[in-house]
Amino acid sequence: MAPRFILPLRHRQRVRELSGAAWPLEACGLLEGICAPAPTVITAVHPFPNVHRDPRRRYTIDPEAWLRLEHAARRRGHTVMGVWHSHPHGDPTPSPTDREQAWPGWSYLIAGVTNTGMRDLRCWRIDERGCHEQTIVTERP
Amino acid sequence: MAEVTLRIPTPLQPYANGNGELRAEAGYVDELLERIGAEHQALVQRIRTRDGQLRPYVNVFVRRTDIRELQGLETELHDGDEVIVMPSVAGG
Repeated sequence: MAPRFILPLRHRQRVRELSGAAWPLEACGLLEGICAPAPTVITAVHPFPNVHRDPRRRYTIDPEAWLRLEHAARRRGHTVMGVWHSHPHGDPTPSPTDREQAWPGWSYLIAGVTNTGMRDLRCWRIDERGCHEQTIVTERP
Repeated sequence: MAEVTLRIPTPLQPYANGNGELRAEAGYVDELLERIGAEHQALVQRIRTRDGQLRPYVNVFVRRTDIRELQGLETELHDGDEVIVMPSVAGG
């Protein structure tokens, strides 16, 4: 069973805002958190430019931007725990491309978005055996 | 021969027995990967292809510069260098 995913309310709202603002393009970014076996605890949601040439259907994060965040997160005693991105067609389940390019051990937070904003938010661990949903626990500050 | 540190981001750590960094002595990136691969074959298989080339969706930085902008796998290493492997983060 995938570990729970602790997402403070302000970070959930940030994903909602960024995903809605990017529609109909995919928004994306990285999740900073505390490295613990379980649960996953998110301390920051970082937006990044979607540098894919087809941002309506795909996303790519610039590796140099990720590198800078890795250094900064380490200085704070944190680590990069995963990725968040939006699906502008509204379904927050991993696409075949998500499954193909996923890294085991990372969390994949996906916002299902339509023209009226974020409809749903789900989180996954993805490995060669399939997609394993993480229960999102939204904490108020 | 330089003493360097290979930094491994979270998604690749399962292939390095959970290590976030590994130390080794090597003169070039190619040699570093060869030495690391002797103990962590699964990790290096995710960095380079069977014929020894850098995988297209993997980036390696030396002194914060992508080795594709330096001398590739022949990039020379100096004492204290940090070599960082960054796989592509992408999806749909």
